[in-house]
Parts: sequence; structure tokens; C-alpha cells
Amino acid sequence: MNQRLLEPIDKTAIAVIFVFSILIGLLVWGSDACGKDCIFHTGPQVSNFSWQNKLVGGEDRAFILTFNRPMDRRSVEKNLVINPPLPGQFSWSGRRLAYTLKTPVLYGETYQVQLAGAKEKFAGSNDRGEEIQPFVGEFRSRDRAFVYIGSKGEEKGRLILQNWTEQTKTILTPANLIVFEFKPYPQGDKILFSAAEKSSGDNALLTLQLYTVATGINQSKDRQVTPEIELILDNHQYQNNKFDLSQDGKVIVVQRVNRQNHNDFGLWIIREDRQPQPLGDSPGGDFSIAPDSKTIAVAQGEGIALLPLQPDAEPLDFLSKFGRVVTFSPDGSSAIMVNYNKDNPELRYTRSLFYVNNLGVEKELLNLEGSILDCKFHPNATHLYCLLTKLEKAEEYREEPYLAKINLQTGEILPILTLPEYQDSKISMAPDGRGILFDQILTTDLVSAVNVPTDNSGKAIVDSRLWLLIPSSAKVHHIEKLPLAGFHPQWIP
Amino acid sequence: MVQIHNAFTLFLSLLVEAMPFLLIGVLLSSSLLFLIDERQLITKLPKNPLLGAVVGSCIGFLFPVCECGNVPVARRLLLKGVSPSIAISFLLAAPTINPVVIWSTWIAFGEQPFIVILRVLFSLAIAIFIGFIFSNQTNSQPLLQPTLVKRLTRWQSNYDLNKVNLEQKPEKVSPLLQSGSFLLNRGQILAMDASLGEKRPDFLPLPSKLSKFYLFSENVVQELRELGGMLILGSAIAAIIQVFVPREFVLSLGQNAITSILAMMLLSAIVSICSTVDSFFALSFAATFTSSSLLAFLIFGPMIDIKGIGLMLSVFKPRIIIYIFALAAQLTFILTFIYGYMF
Repeated sequence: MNQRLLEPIDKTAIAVIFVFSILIGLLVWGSDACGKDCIFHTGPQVSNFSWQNKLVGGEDRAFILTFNRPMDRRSVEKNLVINPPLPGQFSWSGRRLAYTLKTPVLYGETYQVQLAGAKEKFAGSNDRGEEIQPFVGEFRSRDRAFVYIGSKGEEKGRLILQNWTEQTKTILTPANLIVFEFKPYPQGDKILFSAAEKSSGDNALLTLQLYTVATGINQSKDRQVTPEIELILDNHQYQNNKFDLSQDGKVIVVQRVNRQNHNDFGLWIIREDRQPQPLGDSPGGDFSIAPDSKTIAVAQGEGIALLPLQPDAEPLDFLSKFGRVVTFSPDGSSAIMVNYNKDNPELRYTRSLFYVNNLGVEKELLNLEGSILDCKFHPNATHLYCLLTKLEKAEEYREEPYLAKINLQTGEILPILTLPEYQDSKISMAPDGRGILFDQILTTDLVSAVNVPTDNSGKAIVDSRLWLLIPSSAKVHHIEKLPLAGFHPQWIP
Repeated sequence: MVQIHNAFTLFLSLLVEAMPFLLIGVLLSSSLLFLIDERQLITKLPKNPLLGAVVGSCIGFLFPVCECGNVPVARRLLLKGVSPSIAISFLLAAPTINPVVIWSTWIAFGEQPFIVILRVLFSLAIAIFIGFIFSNQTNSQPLLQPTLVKRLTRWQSNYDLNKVNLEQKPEKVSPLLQSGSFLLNRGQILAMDASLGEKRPDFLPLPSKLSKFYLFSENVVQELRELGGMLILGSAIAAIIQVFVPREFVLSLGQNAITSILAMMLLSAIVSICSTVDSFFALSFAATFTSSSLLAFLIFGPMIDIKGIGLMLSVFKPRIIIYIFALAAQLTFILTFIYGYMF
């Protein structure tokens, strides 16, 4: 045995084991002896906060706090403070805490997340252990801002950005372009718009081109640059009509007509940095891209065709019951559709509003003789705000628009506001649900009105007002006229 | 009675889990016997001890075997005359440093990429370090079990003899006919004199494919018999320990940052779970243990477990296994404890 112990490996191994034992002793002693602030101390702490210094928006619904060791869950839940308060739910997965917000973050706020006093808890021990190192995290929500088309003076026909958080107003587009339609990109950094040269005069609607412009919001002040526009789609061979932008901002779908051959009419798709491609055999009317950014709903014949956003692809589905998709919920799980009741003689000439979701639920919300102009989901998807019209059977038929709030659970319909003389058809819901923007416009049939923006029916807009409705849980809603001259207001996401 | 039943279930499950990997290892080891020429292998492997340990730890990438399959391969490498430092670093690293295990760890801990990266890095570091320590021992015989030493010496004497024969310059023989008795063998003319014994003429016909296969299968059966027996014994011991020292008890030992590392190391040795799936097992403790203790489980388990100790005993002497065990445990503890400071 003695001879064996003399083998080199025995000597080396025993020596190394001895050295390591001393090292381990030192490490263990060090972590115990050198107090809480020492680098040798391994106390519980937050090892990651997923929203740290992040700019969040309505689409961000949960943050994750990761701890370096198992925590006493109740003590964490009790001690987590968010300032200003954000109601939400706790859920745990291992050492990670997910906090899911019940409502979207309020825009234009800076939030602080604090955790102190929570304790670690190991499975083997019944006692709560050491207290966590106090943690302070911070995140900011995007600026509260909206864009509209100006209607007076030098702002006429130009895109105007109104940033309420920064209290600034910026004219985004040059004076030589008249803007007709626009859609903000999902992060609000850019806006896609269709516009015509002022010089095109009466032909403006036939010469629309697609552009993007950077908004410069949510950037530090020193980085702000003058808005620059970029041409996305020209009007040389094709006339561009309506367009839509996908929720992920990566796909644009445009309805185009060949200038030489009017039978060459259909939808075109433009992906990021790619040439426009016709979407194949897709004639139809109104269309909108579904929130999954992979499907498009097109009104075809007496129904709605769901097409994949691929050239020459087979339709995914055909909804023969419905004639129009009004809106999708922000998460894409449900949609609001209109049934024109053509199959039911008793309900003929009425329209029914349906709530349809991906679990197969189909719920009729209301049936009316008037029109359904537009609907928007509240971000929580508990309510729907709709712009409807009431058919007044006086000497002649007249439609009176009104704004209504529909509770999706109970089906209760609450008319909020009547809008006499209202002619436009769109409302815009703030991404945090704190405001609904709409406009009121005055149009003219006068032919002399050239180089002015038009409404959906092609009439020239001569005056307009912007209104802000602040939704409330009570029956009384606050409504405010904004001191801005413009129309088509839309919140920046 | 329930305990016996549990022990038997555990025993069977360990065996069912490990046997296929052992079989793969044995098949690989037996094919090495024929596919790789030992002389070439030894000349190609680096002589530098540190480099040898690095190469040894990375061989696992070529042979994706878990901790049951690596023992036959390491044994074969040792029998082929590979230095102990390479064989030991392979033995320790191969169960972790192989594509299957890295992939399964990524699937389980993809959200905590640090665990995946550090599992690989720490295992590699420990294997290289221990391999390097064993490079101190140039003669591998004192490390190995006597039966293995016998095979090795037989092989080495053959090897030395061949070397001598190769080194000896052929005597100048007159092209004229010589007188005497000769053996005529495959075109060779061997004089029946004193030199005949040393030359060991090969009277057997060249091995045909069939006979190679026969030798291969014979080797597979032999290795399976030897190592399979050890695996059964190891699994039985591991099953019995698990029944009498329940997991709950081991887990209850983890009461703070230090003891939870120790508890998870102990658990990894006792449960003897295969490295290809152990990350999923570890994931179930993610809620109740620190990252450093999970890391300790993932590093230490594949290197040492009770089921594997049986297999290792068929190769190494007990005190060598104690050295490997102690060094691996200490290094795992130190590295994961230091990791605990940072995260």
C-alpha cells in the first residue's frame, strides 16, 4: 500500500483535494462572514426585469421578474409596488414572476416598480429566509399622441402630429402633397399615407401614391429630426385606391387598377423591402388585414373571403353569413361583423351586428334599420364603441348618427351621444382606452373646391372639428372639442 | 413490501433507461476495436497533457453517448493504449459535451441560456482539469483493475514487439539459397531457427469480413456481459438508496444557497438519471432551487452517479474513483458557488 501511495497520481490528487477543501472553506466562510454588501455574499435578488428602461405600449401586457433563488411568493406579491398603480395579476413559473396587466399602461407615463422586504424560501426549509436586496426598476410608456389631416391655412391637407405628452405639434408632410388616407405603424415611429400632388387638381384621387413619414415621437429631444418622406408605391402604371397596413407593420395591401386596362383590378401586396406583387385572383370590395398579419378579409359577392397573404393562394374560408368585417379585437381573437339579413324575409333591410370569436362563439349584439358605420374594441375587449345611425322616418328618410357603447358580456347597449350633421364614418380608440377621437366635417358639392381634401364620398371638406370623448365606466361620458382644425384623427399606437 | 416494490420499479426504470445507451457504447467500443488502428490513434493524439485533456473532453462530440455508454468507450481507449488523461477527460466530459445533451438542455433551459452555456463550459473545465491532473501519471497500470491491466500488458507486449521488429533493420541476406529447414507461408520463407519464436509468423488466414463480424459480435457480447452486470448491480444499489433515502429528504437538505447546491449534487448522484434527459428532471426543481444548484445537478450528475460507479469500478481501482469523485464534486461546488455570486 505504501508503495502504491507513492504513485504520482496519489500525491497530486491528494494535494489538489486538500487545496480545494481549503478554498471551499474560505468561500463558505467568506459568504457568511463578510456581511450583506460584500461581493462574497449571495443574497436573494431580482436577476432580471423584462421591462427595465423599456418603452412599452398597449400591446405589452405583462412583465417578468426573475429572481436568483426561490422566493416566498406571498411576500413578493405583498411587497411589489408599481407607481403609478397598474392593476394586474400575479402568476409564477419557477423563480419567475409574471405580472399581467388588467388594463393597458397609460400612455405618456413613467412607471417605477419597487420590491423590498420580500424573502427567499427554500423547499427544504419551513422558515422564510433572507430578505431580498431592494429592487427598483423603471419603464416608460409611449407618448400620448395622435395624427390628423389639417383643414385650414398652411395645414390644409397635410398630416399633423399632435403630441400631448411633449405638448408639441408637428406638420409631417410637405405642402405640395394632399393627404387622403393614413395608417400609423405599430410602434408609432412611422406613418404610411396616400397622397396626391397639389398640382394634380381634380385628378387627385386618381393619382395617389403611397409614402411613409417618420414621426420622431418617443425619441430623445436631441435626436429629433425633421420629418422625411419616402415613396413606397408610385402611380405610374397603376392607380392606387384603398390600402391597409398589417398590425406587425410588415405587410401593406393596396387595391390597384391598371391605367391601361381597367379589367386588371385587384389587391397587391408589398412586403418589407420588396417589390409590389399582385395577390392573384382577389377581386372584391372592402378589405382589411387580420391582426395575425397573415390573413386578409375581403368582401366578395355576398360574403367575406379569408385569404392568406400569399400570391395565388387558395382561400382559407368563406363566411357567407356576413357581408362585412367592421373591426378585429387587438389580440385578433375576435371580430365584429355585419350580417345584412338577406336570407331572412322578416329582417330584410335591417343589419345585425355580430361578435365572432376564434372559439366558435357567434353572438348577435344588435339589429337595426340604420347603418353600422364603424366600431372599435375597448383595449380590454370588454366593450365596443360603435358609430351607428338611426333611421328617422320623417317626410323623407334621414339617418342620424350616434355613438353607442356595447357591453360584450351582457349585450347592453348604451347610446352615448347623438351627432347631428355628422358625415364621416370613422372613430379612433386610444391604445390605452382613455379617449375616443372623432371628427365632424362640413363638405361642399361646389366644383370650384379643388386642391382640398375630400371625405369618403368624394365631397370636398371645407370645415371640420375634432372631438375627444373620454370613456368612463359611469353612464356620463365627458366630451371635449379640441382647439384644432382638422379631420380623420387617429391615435398613434 | 411497498418499498421493495418501489425499489424494483426504480431499478427496472433505471435499467431500461440506461441499457440502450450501454449497448450503443459497447457497439461503438467494439467497432473502435476494428475501425481504428491503435498505432495511428496514439500517434495522432496530442502528447501535451493539457492538449490531450482538451481533445479527450471533446471526443464526446464524435460519440454521442451518455454516462453509461462512455465507460465502454473509455475502457476501449485505455486498452488501445491511450493515455489516462485523455480517457478520463473523455469519461467525464462525454456525457455532457455531446450534441444530444446540449440540445436537450437547450430545450429545457432555453429561457435561461446561461445555464446551458455554463453547463457546457464548467463540465469542460472540470474534465480538462481532472484529465490534466491524471496526466501526471504516465504509467496507467496502477490506475486500472488487475484484469484490465492483464489485457493491457498483453497488448503492450505485442505492441513493443512489433515496434522492436519495425525498428530492427532487416539483416542483409544473401540472395542465394540457404541451407536449412523452412516454413513456407503465404509467399514468406521463414527459417526454422531461433528467430522464428520472436517473429511470430501469422499462420492464420487474413481475417475475412465474416470473421471480423464474428470477432465484433463476440466482443459486444463479452463487454455487455461484463458491463451489463455492473450496470445491473449499480442500478440495484441506486434503486435501494432512493427508496431508503427518499428524494424529499434530500431536497429538504437544501435550506440555503450552499446546502441547496450540495443537496442537488447528492440528488444527482442518487437518482442516476441519464444525461440526455436530466435537464428536464432538473427543470422541475427550477421553482424551488437556485440556478447555481440546478447547474450543480446538471454538471455533477453526468460525471458521477451511483449506477455509473459500478461501471467505473470495472475499469478503475476504487481509490482512483474516489479521487475522480472528490475532485469533480469539489470543482462543481466551487464553480457553481462562484456562479451564485454573480446571478
